[in-house]
Amino acid sequence: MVIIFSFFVIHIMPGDPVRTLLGDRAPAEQVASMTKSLGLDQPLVIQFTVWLKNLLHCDFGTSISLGEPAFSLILQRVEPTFLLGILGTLISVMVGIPLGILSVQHHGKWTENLFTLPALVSISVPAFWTAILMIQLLAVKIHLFPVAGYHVIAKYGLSKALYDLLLPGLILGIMYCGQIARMTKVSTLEIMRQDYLLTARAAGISEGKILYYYALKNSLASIIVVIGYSFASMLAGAVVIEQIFNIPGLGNLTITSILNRDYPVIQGTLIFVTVIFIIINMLTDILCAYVNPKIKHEIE
Amino acid sequence: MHTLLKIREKTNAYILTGIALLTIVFMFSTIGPLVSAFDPLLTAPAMRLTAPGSVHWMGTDDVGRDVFIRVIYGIKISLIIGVVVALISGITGTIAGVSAAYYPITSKVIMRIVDGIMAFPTIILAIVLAGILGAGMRNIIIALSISYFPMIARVVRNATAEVLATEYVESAEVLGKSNTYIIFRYILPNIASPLIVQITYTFAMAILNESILSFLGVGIQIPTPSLGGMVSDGRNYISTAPWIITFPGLVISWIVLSLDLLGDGLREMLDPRRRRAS
Repeated sequence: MVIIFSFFVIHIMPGDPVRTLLGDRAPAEQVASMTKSLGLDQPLVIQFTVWLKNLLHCDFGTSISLGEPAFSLILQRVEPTFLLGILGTLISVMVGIPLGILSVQHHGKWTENLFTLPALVSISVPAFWTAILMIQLLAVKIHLFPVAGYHVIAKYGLSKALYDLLLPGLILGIMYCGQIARMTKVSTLEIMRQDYLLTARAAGISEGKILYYYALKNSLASIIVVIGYSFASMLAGAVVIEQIFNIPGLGNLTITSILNRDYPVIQGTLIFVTVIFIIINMLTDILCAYVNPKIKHEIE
Repeated sequence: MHTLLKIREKTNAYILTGIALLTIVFMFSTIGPLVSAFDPLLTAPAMRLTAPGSVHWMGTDDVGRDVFIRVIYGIKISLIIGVVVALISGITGTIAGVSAAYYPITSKVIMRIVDGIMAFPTIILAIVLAGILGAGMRNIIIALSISYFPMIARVVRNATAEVLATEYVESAEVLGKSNTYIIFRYILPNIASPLIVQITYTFAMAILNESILSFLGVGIQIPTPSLGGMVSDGRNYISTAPWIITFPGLVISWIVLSLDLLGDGLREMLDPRRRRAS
């Protein structure tokens, strides 16, 4: 489904890659020969079968504008995006989970708003805007972080790469911590209402112990789901952040290939990101089954 | 009883704040063009990068256009896109969701499509679709509606399945009521609350993502004012003219926040399970 969609929808796209590449005033013969050499003159169905066959060998085709194989282009771009995703997830988990737990602890009191409102704001404020403001404030004015760019690990070492990604990671983390806080709150509240915790309360166990010892342990599975989900969606959210910080990652590649009408690269990145997305969701499910034997039982 | 009242109060506070904030934005965008003498597209190079003051309330941008009036028009475009996307994906999502729950055969096809679309990360899907269809308001609406309708379809299908399993629907079936009657009389009223909540969130996300698309250059095209596009334009002048990007960004946050507040409030109010349990 994903594959069929990726192929056909992109080919419906108006605008001709050959025209984009050669410019509007290129002679007709040149356009025709280039179209032929790229195989774009074949009927769509034939193009599709050829492409599908190559896809099985991890061959996404050759980039029309850069002339390199799309797959290797994508692989080159994976490193910063992944690192950014990990960093963002770490930050959003470190901020989001405490925020969620605190709002459970204050549930029903006015102080709850102190913790739910920041979460709401983090969901609502556009990240590209905060990113630009933060760059201006923290990087340009007080030189705390580099303004933009990325140093590859292989060449410059991990610490330099991480330093480049610190501010983008922070912004990405803030952008997603609201979702994590919200899910933590919802799932923990749900568990706090269970009968066995009512019994615990009746037995005189302190509210704090109930929350931290019993309830959190049981909401762990749903929190893991959120973390997995947010890591996956961060890979997507990175599109915007990478564009602003000029980080040569997958998101950056997606945008440039869309603007250049570079079919093989768009299809490649779309499929690549989606497959990663699905794999992460699957891993999350497995991890969940591991921490929550009930789920494992249901699957079996 | 006491806790129930308390919850009601708090919920209403969220909803009321959300509605109040939205009303302010709405009034702002209706009254704005009446009180401002400027044209959103008119450039005035002599007045470029003027700081906010009594003439240009939010300053001017790099070609001397009035930021205030551009923000007003940007709000209009954002709201229109938000409403239309919420409506289109709401209606198609409801039709798809109800028919998937109701007719097992269509369920397979519809849910396959829904799952297929949902396998893509939403933002990337919207960007690629907008890139494919080409920029412009109509195409953004199409791209965002395609990205959001699956989520609504899924919510509706689950809610419908729950209603279908109840005894009153069963008895209606036994009494020989037609499917259309059951759908309109029993199902739609009972799935309304999750649907409304989801549509409110869709509204918020559509506005946020429209601004992202416009910011990235695959959304509303210059010179038409759009909030995301203005932030993108003002980027290069941030150190000399921070007002160009500050105001549009604040307005986007304002609108999305008020819709999220509204959504949260509605969810808490309309979800009977949560209300009873707290």
